[in-house]
Amino acid sequence: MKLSRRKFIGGTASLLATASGMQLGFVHAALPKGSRGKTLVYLFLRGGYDGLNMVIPRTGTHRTEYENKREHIQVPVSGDNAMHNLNGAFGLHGSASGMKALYDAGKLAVVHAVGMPEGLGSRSHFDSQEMYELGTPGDLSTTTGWLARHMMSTPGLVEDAAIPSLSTNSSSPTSLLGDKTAMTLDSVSGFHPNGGRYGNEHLDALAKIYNGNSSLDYAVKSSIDTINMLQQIDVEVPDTYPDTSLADDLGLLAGMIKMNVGLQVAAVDFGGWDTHNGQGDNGGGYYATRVEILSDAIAAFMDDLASHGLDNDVVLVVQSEFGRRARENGNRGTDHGTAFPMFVVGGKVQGGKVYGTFPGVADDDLYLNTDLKVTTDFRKVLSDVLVNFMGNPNVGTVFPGYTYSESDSFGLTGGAELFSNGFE
Amino acid sequence: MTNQTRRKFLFSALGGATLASGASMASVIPEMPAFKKRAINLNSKEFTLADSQAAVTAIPPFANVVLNRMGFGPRGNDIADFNALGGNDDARLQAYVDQQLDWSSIADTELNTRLSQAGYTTLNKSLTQLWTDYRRDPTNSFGYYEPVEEIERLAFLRAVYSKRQLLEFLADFWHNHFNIYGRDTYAAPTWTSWDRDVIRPPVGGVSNRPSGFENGHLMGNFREMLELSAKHPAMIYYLDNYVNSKASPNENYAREIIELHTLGAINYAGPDPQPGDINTITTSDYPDGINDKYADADVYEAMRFLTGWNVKDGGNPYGKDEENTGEWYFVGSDWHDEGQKQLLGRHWPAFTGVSEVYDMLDLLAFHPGTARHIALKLCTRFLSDTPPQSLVDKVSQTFFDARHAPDQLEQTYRTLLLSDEFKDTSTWGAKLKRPFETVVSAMRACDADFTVRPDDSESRYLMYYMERTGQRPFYWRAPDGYPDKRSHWEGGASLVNTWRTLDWLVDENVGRNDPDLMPVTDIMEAANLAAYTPNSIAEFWLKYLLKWEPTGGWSGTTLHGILSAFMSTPWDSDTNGSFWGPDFPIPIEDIVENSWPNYWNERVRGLVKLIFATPEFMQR
Repeated sequence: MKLSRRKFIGGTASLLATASGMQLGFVHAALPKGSRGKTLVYLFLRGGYDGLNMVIPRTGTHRTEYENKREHIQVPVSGDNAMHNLNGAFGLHGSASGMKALYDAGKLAVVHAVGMPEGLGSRSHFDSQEMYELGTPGDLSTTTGWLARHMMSTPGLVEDAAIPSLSTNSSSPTSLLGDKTAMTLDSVSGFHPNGGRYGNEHLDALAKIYNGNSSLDYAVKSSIDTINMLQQIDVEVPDTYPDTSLADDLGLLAGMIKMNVGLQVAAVDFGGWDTHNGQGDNGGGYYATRVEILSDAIAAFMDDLASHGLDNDVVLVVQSEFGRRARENGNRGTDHGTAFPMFVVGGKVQGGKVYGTFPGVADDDLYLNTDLKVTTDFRKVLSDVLVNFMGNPNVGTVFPGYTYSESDSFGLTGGAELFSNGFE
Repeated sequence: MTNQTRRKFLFSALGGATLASGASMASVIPEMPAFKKRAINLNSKEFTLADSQAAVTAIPPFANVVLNRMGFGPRGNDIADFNALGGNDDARLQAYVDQQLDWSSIADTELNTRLSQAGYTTLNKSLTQLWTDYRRDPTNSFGYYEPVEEIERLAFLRAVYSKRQLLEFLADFWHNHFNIYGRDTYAAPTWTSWDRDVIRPPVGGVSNRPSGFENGHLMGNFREMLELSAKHPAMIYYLDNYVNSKASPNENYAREIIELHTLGAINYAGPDPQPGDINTITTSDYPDGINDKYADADVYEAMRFLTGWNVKDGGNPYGKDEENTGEWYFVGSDWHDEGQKQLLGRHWPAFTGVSEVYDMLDLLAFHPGTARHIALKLCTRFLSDTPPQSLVDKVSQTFFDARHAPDQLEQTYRTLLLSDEFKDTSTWGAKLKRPFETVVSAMRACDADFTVRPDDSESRYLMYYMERTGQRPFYWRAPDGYPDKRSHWEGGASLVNTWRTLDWLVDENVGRNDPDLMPVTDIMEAANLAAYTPNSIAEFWLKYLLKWEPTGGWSGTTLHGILSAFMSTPWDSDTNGSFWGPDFPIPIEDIVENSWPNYWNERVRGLVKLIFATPEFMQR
């Protein structure tokens, strides 16, 4: 049932008139106790990111081989643009100070050399993104995304969820393909098909027109729900966030998490990683700026959540469609490669560690003699989070054909917490 | 800029308007409702819902189907003109396709009149002139972007007002096929040339193409078009071939010319093909055989072919030719990898020079895999996200058979447009219009009076709104072009922002001295209905905007009932609204004036916006 106009005015007016702390207070009070669910934020770095310059060999043979292959673009161990030391063997890009602080606080884990099983991947941006987001390596014919299948199979949904799934992109990403309840929301002000006097009547008519069962009907219904939600809530991105669109996206998500709208999964995109040319020498330049935007936004997001006591309820996972070649190309850039490091971030994350197996960057250790080899299936990382943090044991539904093994799991989010949401 | 402007406030325009108009804030008790349950059952079938079209009232007549499938929808007298072309549907379609393919014989008076008044300044500048004026020596800091900002606005002007609807529809297709982000460094200043010299056929009967490339355009020959695209500075820069040399190879363009422009990912054997994955086929061009699929090894070889394929951009910082004209040139053996090469199973000896690049373009353009790839994309664009294989095969066959013909592409379209599959109206609604199509077709349906131009605020607003829809022209950053499946566009952000764009268009200038961009009030007045009632007004606008009616008229249909109810529901019943029925007579003066308390004009404009948002209008 639609809210009456009067109620809606009251809600909006009070939100504008009160301090944010008060808003949170009454919003929480209005929800059943214990209904706060977990939220998974899936941050996709579009373009294929140069993971070898993000989590970088720091010592020994790996370092020597790395420097041999990256004469100009290598990230230095010391001096200007020096990397952060993670665990001696690996460093984090010098511009990722915010992420380093999270690592030191034990809230950020690295899994190196992640990807699709050998031979199933693609060096095409588009096919590779599709396969990762569908969650079916080597198969582009899947009709639903892995996040959508998680939504379909998880027992951990908040029963009265208002916004169970959200994308901050202008259109819904493949990972949510099939989830017709997913909201997409790239901007919030004036988000309405009729800004005039008859806006509510307009929405009523749209809801009557689109009352069928097609994918378009669901998309419109979801749009109307989004608009109705926006009339009920008020999110302001705090000043602690940097002034970047990625930070705005994450700030919007944090606001929704604070409002307790039942957000289960959120997909966020951050592009600009296709660094074929002039990515920046000696740890600086274009790539460093990209890393800084990423790192600062993640840090602001986690700090914001932590300051509201919510960072234990959120895990953010970062991946891309591929890493880049081990060797720099002649244009001081890098071409399309294979494996990359993933990040898993959150209060419950067993962070401060580099997980996985680094296969090395010596010629003989590379996939097809050019790329960092995959030593960890990306589904192992995601399943770990799904099972142990999100409380969804149905890995076989989310990743058809993949078998998750609890004993083989990294325990990235602290081991079995099945049904910790309070569901029977 | 204050912090305020960049923050995201989650309150609606409606809420803001209400507050501004004086609703009391202080006395309101915080009564935040528990968030309602969503109307949708989270564990039901919508999670496995395949892409599917929303139900429509009925299948429209043949003329409406055709004009929506091969253009941006009917405008003015288009339906009557189409129906006057012959004695039956087949004859009319045949005549219309002939007419549209013979595009230069179609007078474009209205477009040309508007164009001559619009103040476009870059359209007649040669590539070198554009390069000089906007790349080398822009007169102001925005100068770099003048060409692309003209062409993005012109895309609207042409799509709305040109009678060469098929040509405009195809220009949209080919811009996306050879997609370049229009704001890219060499693209923005040369965009007028990219649009004119690569994508569109030359106007006025005088070719602006180099000798041998007279047919390199969307109505001509794909091989010629491919080479023109390859030689344009916008492409050479966008996909990094301007730095591709034997000392510093860069595979970006090599990969995309195979994966996106020619063979397509459907013919990719993967990064590590196993025996049996790639087979040898023969064609009349290659009787000795070529590989049916490509592998990464072919991408790397293509990269070597393309080393030294470059642009005269002043040489810095890479020590190339010092000339700075924006023209293509081949650097020569300093940059070109002169070693022997292989591609798709064929072999080239060392020191072949630039001719091997032309051989490569031949091999790619004349490959049957390219025909399949482009046929699939064309059928997807015209007809359905999942076009019948029977049609793709026919179109592919024509594309392949005509690969050496000057009118190869025209022949290809003819096969598609005259096919039984194209004529089959039962598949109506399979395509969800993309935002550009929705907005353009709405402007056409509602007789928009909007000369989109380079330098006025309304045109700037239009671009701003289109950017929010996710489909501002030439604004897609990745080289694959705007997606062409409904799943991409069935998101709230795209749908709502498309409707917002129409909301703005319908309301813009209403009540001011400038003419309304969408003359809703004028049309309503000129309708001269016997009685203006919620029922009759809804009936009128359905027929006017959709340009057809089901047997027996719209009255009595579910859709009509919903729209009539929208017209007759009081908006604020507990204060000053009135109660009306569907046959309540509304004085036309009240509709024209938008007077208190019922604001009929605003109501009628809302009705128009709603019809644009129906499955009948949004799908084709």
